[in-house]
Amino acid sequence: MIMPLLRRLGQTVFVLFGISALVFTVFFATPGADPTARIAGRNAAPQTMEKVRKEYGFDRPLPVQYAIMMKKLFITRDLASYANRGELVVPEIMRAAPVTLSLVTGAAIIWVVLSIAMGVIAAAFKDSWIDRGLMILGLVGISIPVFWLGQVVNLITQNRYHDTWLFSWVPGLGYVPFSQSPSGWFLALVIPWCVLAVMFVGIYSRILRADLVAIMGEDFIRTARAKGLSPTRVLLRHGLRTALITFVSLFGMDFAQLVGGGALLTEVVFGLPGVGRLTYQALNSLDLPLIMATVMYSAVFVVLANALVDAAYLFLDPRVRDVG
Amino acid sequence: MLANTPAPPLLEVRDLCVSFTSRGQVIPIVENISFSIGDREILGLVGESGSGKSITAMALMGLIDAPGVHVTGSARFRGRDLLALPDRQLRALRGREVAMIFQDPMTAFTPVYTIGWQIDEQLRVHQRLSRRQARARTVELLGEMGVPDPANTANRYPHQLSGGLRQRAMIAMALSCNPSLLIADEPTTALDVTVQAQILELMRNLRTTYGSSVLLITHDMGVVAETCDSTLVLYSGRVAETGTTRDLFAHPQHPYTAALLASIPPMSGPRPDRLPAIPGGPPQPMERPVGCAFAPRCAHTHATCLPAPPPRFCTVGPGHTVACVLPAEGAPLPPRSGSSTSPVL
Amino acid sequence: MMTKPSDTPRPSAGPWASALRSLLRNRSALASFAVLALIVLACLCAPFYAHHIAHTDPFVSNVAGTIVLNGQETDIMQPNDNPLHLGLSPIGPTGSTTYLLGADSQGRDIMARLLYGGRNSLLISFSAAVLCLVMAGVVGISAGFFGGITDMVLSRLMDIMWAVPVYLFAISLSIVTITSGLRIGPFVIEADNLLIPIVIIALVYVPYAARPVRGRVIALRQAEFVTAAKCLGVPRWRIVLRDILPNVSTTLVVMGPLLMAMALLAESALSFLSIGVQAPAASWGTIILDGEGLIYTRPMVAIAPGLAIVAVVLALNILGDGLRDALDVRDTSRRE
Repeated sequence: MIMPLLRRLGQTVFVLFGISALVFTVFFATPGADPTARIAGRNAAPQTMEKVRKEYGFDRPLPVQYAIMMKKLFITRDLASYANRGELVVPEIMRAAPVTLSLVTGAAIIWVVLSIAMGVIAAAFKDSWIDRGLMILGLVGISIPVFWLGQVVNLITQNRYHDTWLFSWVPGLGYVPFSQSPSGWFLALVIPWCVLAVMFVGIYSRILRADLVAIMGEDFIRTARAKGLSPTRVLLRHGLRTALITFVSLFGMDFAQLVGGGALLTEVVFGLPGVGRLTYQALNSLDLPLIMATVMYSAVFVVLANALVDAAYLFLDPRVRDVG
Repeated sequence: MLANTPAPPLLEVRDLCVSFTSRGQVIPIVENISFSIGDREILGLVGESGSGKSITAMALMGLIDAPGVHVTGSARFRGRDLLALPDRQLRALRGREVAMIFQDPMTAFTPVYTIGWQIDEQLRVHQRLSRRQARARTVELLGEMGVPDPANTANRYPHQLSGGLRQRAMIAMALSCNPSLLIADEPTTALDVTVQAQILELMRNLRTTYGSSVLLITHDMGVVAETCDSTLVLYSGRVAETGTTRDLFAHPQHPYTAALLASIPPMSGPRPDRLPAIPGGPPQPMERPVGCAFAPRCAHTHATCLPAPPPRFCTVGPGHTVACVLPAEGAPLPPRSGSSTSPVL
Repeated sequence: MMTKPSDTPRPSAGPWASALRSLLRNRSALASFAVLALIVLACLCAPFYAHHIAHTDPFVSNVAGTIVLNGQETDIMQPNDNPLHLGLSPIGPTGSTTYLLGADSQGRDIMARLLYGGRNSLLISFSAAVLCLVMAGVVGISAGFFGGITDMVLSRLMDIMWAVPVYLFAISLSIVTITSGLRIGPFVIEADNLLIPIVIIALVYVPYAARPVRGRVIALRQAEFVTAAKCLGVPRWRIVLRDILPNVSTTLVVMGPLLMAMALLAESALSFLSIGVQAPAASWGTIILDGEGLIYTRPMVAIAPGLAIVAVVLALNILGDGLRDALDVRDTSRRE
């Protein structure tokens, strides 16, 4: 029991190290310009350049640079933005995280509920027009760029039809902290939730349907039917429950990636000051330390979330439990 | 057949046909199968893979729902036609009056629930039982099936049990509601030989302990000889021969039955260098001959075998009928030499 | 019986021909193909459209220009509708051949830019998908076929890349190359070269495509005809070329359209974040970005390129589904 756990821990640590090395390589060892110039920002003064070179050790070998970088990110947490007059990066990310978490959690609830409903209904009515209609709908959802959908939805709810009864409740773009006003928080996020969920509803309903259809051909489903169970019970208690194993593992990955900054485009379009929009602002000012920090934090988050997903897997699939 | 017995048989199947339509073409899988099973009788349904044994069982259970499949004929079970019952009533019957166990116990349990949960589920669907009562009954059943430490085993997942234990649990689940008919589809094929013998022993004892009749589907003549009261030999979706196991093994009248029996290694006497084998393979349903389906592989084929329709049934003894032209033409096969019934035991 | 290497499965006409037949019976796949062909054709005609139909240069700012509409000379930048007529907005859809869909904030013809942008978007997504498949093929086949250390290193590398959110990974790569391009030895790739987004997008999707390939190769490696070829002493590179590659090619082909769809979405997102295609060149993503500020006054600027993206991505997805059914490959791109 201890050995597999240790092995898993070892893997996690390895992946964490690998990611940090990868991100470091992308930002500081990509052939091209001097990393000092990248950090210091556009048209930096020579003194700034010199200071940056000292601070990050760009005159020293790569492994030392890597060590300095990791120290600044995770231990002293004093990575500072040069483009933004020395604002400390890590606290900035911590302030933005709750916004992203609110956005992604709400969207996740919507997409899980909707995609399970759509996938199950489509599988139950396999090959009928209901099935085909739902799956085309899912495909359309997958095909819409989220930032464009956000703009179109804004056009409808904020501008063209804002004055009708349907959308008059929609507040202006932006975020309201939950602690300030729970109802304001909710209203401000409803539309972004739905927009962010659209693509995932498409992906997950299609995957769930395919899995369910495959599972419904398995021997144990035949046993369940031979037991005299109702078709609904066979589909939900035996089919869906088994299909959920794949579903949950995918969900863990996507949820983690979104919280880690994958919701950037949605945050930008709806003006939500989350981690993603922080990255976006850093993009516009070419603020490399900030971007690198967000990418690094998101990767760490994804790896930790994956470890959690593995735990959930253990809970959901008894077969994995014994293999260890 | 058993037509003259006073009480109607438990299950009487008449002219069961299963066919499916593919690209406008009707392909017959099973043609005109008739048989009956009496109370506490064990009937063996024998045939090669693809002969339609499993399809027959699935059709009886109403488990065939693939698009384009047609099932015709009748299957009277205690006065009700299984093939004509509305879904809901058939479902109430399934698992309670007629239960089924499957070939591969590896894949026949839902992997994410414990064995006990799955047996409880069947009990609670058909009977008004509390969770606790259901589990008590489950443990009792598992114990009766010879599962060691039943209370703990009930809490284990299918993958944690050996094949033999899983099949015992499967039988426990099938018997949980005291069904009067148990359909067993190759229950021992996936198990190793010693476990196979134990499971067959268990099945033989069912009629005394549970009063159940069994429809045993197998491709193994040895299993039939050991277990079944009567036997029905299927070939390419049609009945070749049917009769009591004793008669059929002593005097096989269909060349196919005779060939099947000849391919069992003898238990005593000199061992042959090579077991006799039937040349060729069974025809695909689409290429089934219009006359006798076995004709292309038969050593006795002659002109009367070939034209449609297939040979009619010919009664050669009490309850012993055969779909072959030989007895009617006055040239029946000779009785089998050697032991009169079973090659084993 | 000995299995001679000549008995091993070949890229014979069989599977491909039957796949083509079943694809030709698939009406929605055919319709998607027609839509794609139409859009590609239209984009290819972009210069012709700009010069001979719209008579504009969609890469030059034309804020002070005028056009003739219904015999009247009209300003391209027009006063706003607000009571004080404060500020200027570009002209909206005109319904005539010039400025069919209106102008952007620099007075450039949206329809013409849409066609030119389509060229870039389609070129980038297509090349990225092809490049990604090639890289994934190489990585997946080497990992799966050689196993051992090669597999471990490559698989771990894929795991690591997999853990970074795709868009963040692409953004990171874009932001470091966008400032000063790439300099590898004597080769210099300028920041506005289309190769940069192509390589970046291809790179970030490699793990998605390489995993299923690796799985397929591992299954094939244990197949009997490969064992037979090994026993006969057929050189490894020959086994890879003659036995593995043809059998993996169906997996790769099926992923093609789906990858191109993902690449198109990624390209438009990067361009929308202004780190993809660089001005004055256009892509559907940059036009949506141009339209962002005009969304309430001239929504067509952003809506038109978005619709183009949706149409192409949807068509590609349907085509990919059709291909998958025709070649009978299970969808493994999103699973382990």
